Amino acid sequence: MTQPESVLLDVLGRHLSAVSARSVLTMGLARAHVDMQRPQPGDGRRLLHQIERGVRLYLADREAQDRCLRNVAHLLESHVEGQVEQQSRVSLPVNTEWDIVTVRSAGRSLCQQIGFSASFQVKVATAISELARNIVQYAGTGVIELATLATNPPGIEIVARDRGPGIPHLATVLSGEYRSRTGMGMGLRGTRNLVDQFEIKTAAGQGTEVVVRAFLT
Amino acid sequence: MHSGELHPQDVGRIPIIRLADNLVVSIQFSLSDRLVAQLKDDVTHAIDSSGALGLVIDVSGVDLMDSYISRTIRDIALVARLMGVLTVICGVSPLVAITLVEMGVDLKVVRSALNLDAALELLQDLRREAATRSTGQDTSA
Amino acid sequence: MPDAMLNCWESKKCGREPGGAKISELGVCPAASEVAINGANRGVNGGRACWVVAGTFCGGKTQGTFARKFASCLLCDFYRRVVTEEGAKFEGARELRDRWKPAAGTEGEHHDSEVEEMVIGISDAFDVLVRVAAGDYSAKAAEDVPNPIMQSLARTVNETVGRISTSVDALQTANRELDQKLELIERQRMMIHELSTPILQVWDNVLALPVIGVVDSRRSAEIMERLLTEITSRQSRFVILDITGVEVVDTRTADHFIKMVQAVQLLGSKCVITGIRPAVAQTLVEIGVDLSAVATLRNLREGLRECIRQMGATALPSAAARG
Repeated sequence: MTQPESVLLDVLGRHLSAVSARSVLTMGLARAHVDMQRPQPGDGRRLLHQIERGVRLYLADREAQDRCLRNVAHLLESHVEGQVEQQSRVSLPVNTEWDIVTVRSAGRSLCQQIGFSASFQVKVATAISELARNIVQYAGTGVIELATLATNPPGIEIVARDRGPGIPHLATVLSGEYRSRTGMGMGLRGTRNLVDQFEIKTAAGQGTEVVVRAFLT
Repeated sequence: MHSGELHPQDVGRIPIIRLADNLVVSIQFSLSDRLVAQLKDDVTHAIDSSGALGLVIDVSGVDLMDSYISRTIRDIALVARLMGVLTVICGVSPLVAITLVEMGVDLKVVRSALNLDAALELLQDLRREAATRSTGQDTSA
Repeated sequence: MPDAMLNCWESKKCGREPGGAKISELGVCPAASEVAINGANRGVNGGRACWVVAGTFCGGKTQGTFARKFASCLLCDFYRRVVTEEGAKFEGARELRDRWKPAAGTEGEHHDSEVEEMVIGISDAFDVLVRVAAGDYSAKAAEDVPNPIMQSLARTVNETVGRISTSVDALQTANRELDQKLELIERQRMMIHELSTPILQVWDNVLALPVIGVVDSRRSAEIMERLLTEITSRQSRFVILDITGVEVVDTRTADHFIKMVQAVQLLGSKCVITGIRPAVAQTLVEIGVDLSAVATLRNLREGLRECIRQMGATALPSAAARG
């Protein structure tokens, strides 16, 4: 038994009898096709789903179920997906117009690897395209960081960072009243509509950082 | 679904084909910004020199359309209309359509058709309609 | 012996094994030197059968004869450990007695065979219970014993264990069945999910989508993806979105429908919404939802009639062309 497994068993054991805890874990690992020796991206999410089935079956009280699952989710995040997340966080330079295509392709293949749906892939790739274009057009150079999120439901995080001039009149741009000749207002607003979380930090002469997160529905 | 995108450096220019009274632009790969901008110039030039009456933009090979690309397509349609040419876009993939709608992109000025045949048919209908309207024979419909 | 099993002196750390720390003081323990039962329960000499050896020294006290000391042995964790480890191959007091008869009265004790028989019977029962506690229900206490009380004890224990074993089996089966049922429910849920929004080809080039129930963002996203894929693969020119089965339409739901219509139009098909209930229509106006950009018709039939009319107006439908 690997270390994460025994820690998981320990947590389950706090809510379930020893026999039930073992059964929930064993069944979960088998059903989710998870090999704890070699954790893969997405393992934590699948395992959590299977463990949830078991816990809902063995624990009668809804609140107790949720308490138990919260602990398990927390644990999976730090023990299983933690290693994976490190591996799949990538930072890509955005310097030329060609990089827009390169970066969005990278985002798409990252989603593909994890097994996200085709519609989610297009959503993410489009958001990356918008953010990368903003960098090229307004700052010249910058980076795009991509990372998977081991949340429930799982998701992806895109960070666009540059040291450009910053976005003046941000509120106006985001409200849709402002129309740039190049279509930036639409790009940022479109991205915001497309994703689930959208944060933007910008200051004149300091650059811009946009953090967006999209989750599988 | 395309697994990888063709690098824009591999592609020089998007060909514009003359088909009867219409121009047909078929985009079979992912678009880079420069290619899109180039297309706008090329189409404007082709409309001017060919005297075509309609324009079809086939995007069946495009698996991603962001605000810049869709805006340029809209611009092309607006420019074409000022020059007396109607534009129909065809072959929009389901995922592209969903993304555009989710983003709130407005492509109403461009009519859509399911495929190239339907697009050419639609252009013919639109022209007939316009002709009927201008001669004032039928205003009830 | 492939595995070296733990002997009692290694577990108890009494120091009375040959070469132990305390032999000068207390002498070698009979359990460690009793060659007659060497190998019992895979131990060295009496190392794994110490409870039947008289005069052992556990927990700092010299233990008496088997009958006297066995009461404390029954609670000893080493004894329980050996029972669990050996399982069905466990040699209990009865088997060991048959193999090895300690010379009666060597310790100056009066040897009472009646008492010994009873202690062995109890020990049998205990062995079974220890194994049951460890999850092994196959153990049986010997029933063909001379003492009638011990006979009833053995029978009762065996019967009880049998019953527990049956109910555990039943529980496990029920558990498995429950699991299968859960899986079935899950599969059915998926099926219902799929079926809840069938996409019907009601006419050449016309798809109908009867929406029933609550439309949240997740469901609307699924419906939209399926509908658009269907339109593309069938190249359908018309879509009727029938919402007769939707009893409540709020701003969000209306927004989902508007997006669906827009997406369908982007593909190049025409989309009409039909079957808006009177109450829904009233609510939509009251909450200020603008559906003016969307074609709406009274019911599915009117929707279909309109689609056919438009097809006739534009071009020959392929059905007519084929005859």
